[in-house]
Order: sequence, then structure tokens, then C-alpha cells
Amino acid sequence: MSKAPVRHPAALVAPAGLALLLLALPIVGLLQRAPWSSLIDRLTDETVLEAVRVSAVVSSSAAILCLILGLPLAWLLARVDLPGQRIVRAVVMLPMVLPPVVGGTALLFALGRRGLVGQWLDRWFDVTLPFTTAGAIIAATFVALPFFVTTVEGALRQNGTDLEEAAATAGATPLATFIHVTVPAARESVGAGLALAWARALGEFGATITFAGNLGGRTRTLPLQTFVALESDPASALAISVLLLSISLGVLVALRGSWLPR
Amino acid sequence: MIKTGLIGAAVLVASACGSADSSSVIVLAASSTSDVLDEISQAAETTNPSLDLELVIAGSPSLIAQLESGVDADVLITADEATMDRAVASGRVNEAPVVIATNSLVVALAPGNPGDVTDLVDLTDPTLLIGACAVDVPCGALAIAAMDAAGLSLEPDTEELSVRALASKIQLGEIDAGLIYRTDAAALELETVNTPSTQRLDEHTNRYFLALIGESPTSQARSLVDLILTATGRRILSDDGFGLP
Repeated sequence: MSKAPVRHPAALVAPAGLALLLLALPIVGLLQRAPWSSLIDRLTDETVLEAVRVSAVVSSSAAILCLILGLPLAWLLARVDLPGQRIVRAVVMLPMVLPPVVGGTALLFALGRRGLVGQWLDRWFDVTLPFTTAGAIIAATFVALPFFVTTVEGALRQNGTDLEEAAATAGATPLATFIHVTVPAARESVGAGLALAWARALGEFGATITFAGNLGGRTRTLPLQTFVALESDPASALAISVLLLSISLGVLVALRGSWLPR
Repeated sequence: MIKTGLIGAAVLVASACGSADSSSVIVLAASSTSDVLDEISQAAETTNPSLDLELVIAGSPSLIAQLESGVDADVLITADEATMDRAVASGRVNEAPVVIATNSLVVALAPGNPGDVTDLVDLTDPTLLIGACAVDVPCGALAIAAMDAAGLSLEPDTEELSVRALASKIQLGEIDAGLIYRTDAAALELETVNTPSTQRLDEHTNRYFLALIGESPTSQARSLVDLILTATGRRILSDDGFGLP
């Protein structure tokens, strides 16, 4: 008996194709307008390099903060029965769906010089976060943290608690168990979470411009530089867009290759 | 279920396409004219009930991008001459643009003046949080020209991408002082510095240009332009703090 040919219903294939087109077409549009012959010159321009440096510092610092703060939070969500778990999880996920400019405004009301907590930082420690690189890092961490936490939390749940219970039975303290058993078992997801968080931080625009402002060498990251250049030097904006696009695509392809299920 | 979904989608597409009524006058205008145009369009629609205005407010560079991409429009208002020049270069302006208003900068202060800013020179104080518009925004170019003329170099802590974004951060008290348009300071009721040095900011003005778009402007579009250029329009502009040509 010959194998029946697999039928692909057109009612599914057509909208699927349209969806793919919607996602891919803007990339093609960008690539066909990119100034390929002068790409390197435009990307090594002093203002662009300055933005590259700011972006490197901001996105890497945000990724490290995600690791330091997000790993314990992922553990908390996966292992501890919190009161109001649903609300806590919603708060953690919120920056993924909140318009970043709303996030930036909220940060301003919380950590700004006249903000809920910011006024005390200003009064007691003379620390002002808006319009500083530290402010840009906080804005980037705010939007990137959920990507790290949800990735790692998923892995911790999937890994289960068998190994941890064994370690506890063998006499390991809870903290030692976390460091020597829980984290190593989840290392691939920690890596994936870091890469996603870093990529999200690199692409951050709305919260940064709102909370940290826009100043070359201090808070003007690559996405901000793209927006500024779009008004004065569109070819430069396109060149930076190609750079950001390749980095984002590179991160996703690398993740697909090694960490996420194939 | 699927059928209703498809019909819903079709209705959505149809209404999105049909929103531009052919009898309405579409005005593309610079961000800083948003408040005054609301008032002008109210006055225009009261005088001429058959007039239906649709305001598209955006930053000057975005207005040009829309024009170049062939967007449906009848009237264009830009915040400076350079932007209008680009509109003319796009080939969609067929009659000479006219100046309808002018605007100048003021030193606007955070509520309570926490930075104790009392003069134009205080804007160069590195210990204060100072804001300006980005160089590519009309108000940023104007700020640099005015500070240059005063022999001062502006080194802001942030170069905001629109004058309203800057004005809001001053109002929130996150920035001690900044150079914004007189009209925006008035709209947000911000305190301003008034000394001989800041009065000289008035010597530097942006001119707002108006142009009719397309080869055969409608009589509706012309009636709006007439209203802006005559007494009613001039009074509204001047009440909002704009200078008159």
C-alpha cells in the first residue's frame, strides 16, 4: 500500500504564508535599502562607535544584573509557594507586554529625582539616576529581566526537585544545593536566558529615552542613535539597523542551534 | 466561528481603508502647533459647519517622510523653513508657502526652581541637570544658534527628541532648566527666567510655514488657510504665545 500523500489544507497554508510574509517583508525592505558599499565606513563613524560603546556597556551590565537578580527570582517562582503567586508572576511578566515608554515613565515616577524612591536617593545619597548611564542600565534591565526569569524558571520547573532532594539528604545546605546542583542543572537555560535578556537590552529604546534621556557617550545607545540618525542621516540609520538586525538574528539562530528545542 | 472571524477582519480592513473621507481637509502639522490647531479647527468648524478637519500631528521629519510617501493631505504646517524647503523639494507643494507665525525660546524652570537658575549662563553649569532639544529637531537647532550668539556653549544632560518631551521632564522636576518654545512653556504654565540675557533669546525665531498640498487645492482647504491668515487665526495664534509675522 502506498503512503497517502500528506495534505496541506490551503486554509492553513495561505494565512501561514501571509504571516511569514508580514514578518519577513520588513527585513527584506530594510536590507534592499541598506547602504552596503559604505556600510563599514558608516558603522565606524565616531558618533556610531560612541553609541556602540554605550550600548555594549548598557546591555552587558543589564545582562549581568539579570543574572544576579533574576536567577534568585526564577528560583523563588519555581520552588517557593508564594502567596499571590499569580500576581507576582504577572508583575514579573509585565515589562514584556507593557509599552516601553510607559515603563520609562513609571521608572521616572519611581526612581526619578522627584520619584517615590528617587527623591530619597537624591536627598540622602545624592544619587540621581535619570540622564545617567546607570539609569539607562536600569531601564534596560527592567525590560530584559522577564526574558531571563521566565526562561530559567521554566527550566527549573522542568528539571524537578529530585536532585535537590538527594543533595539535601546527603547533607548539603540549601544555598550550596542551589549553587552546586540547581544552577548547573539549568545552565543551558541560564545561558539562553542571558542571551535573550542581552538581546532585548540591546534593542531597548522607549524606556531608555523616557527615563535616561539621550546624550552621546552617556545614554545614547544604538537604537537611540538609529532614531536620531533617521532624521538627519537616513543612510547611517539604515547601516546601524543592519548591524542590530544581524546581532538579533545571530542571537536567535545561535539559541536555536544549542539551547532551545529543535 | 471562523466565518465571523473572517467577516470581522474584513470589516476591520474596510474601515481602516475608508477612514479618509474625501470631503474632509487633512492637515499635516508640526508637533508644537498641536494645541493651537485644535483651537483653530474648532473656530473653523464653527464658522463653516460643512468643514471637516482631520489633523495629523507629527515631528517635522516625520511629516516630510509622510509627504514623500504620497500620503493624502491638503495643508502642511512646518515648524521651520528647512522642513518646508524639503516639502517643496518633494514636489507636492505648488504654491509659495507663507509664514503664519513665529516662535522663540525661553529658559523654562522646574517647579520651585530647585537648581536656582537665574540667568542664561546658568545653563552651562555642569552641576545642574539641563535639557535641550536634539540638534535635528527645529527647537534644538534654534537653541544652539541662540546660545552661540550669546557666546555660551550648551552642554545639556539630555537632548530630547521633541520639545514636548523636554517640557514634560522639566514640569516633572527631573530637569532643572531647559530651552523650550515660549508657547510650550505657556501651555504647561512653566516658570521662565526673565533677564536681559534671556530676553535676547527673542532675537532668534523659528518661522512656521503653511503650504497647500497638491495641484488643485479644494475650496475647503483654501477657506481654512484664509481663516488662519486673517484676524480670527491671528488672534488665536497670538493668544497661545506665537509671534505674528
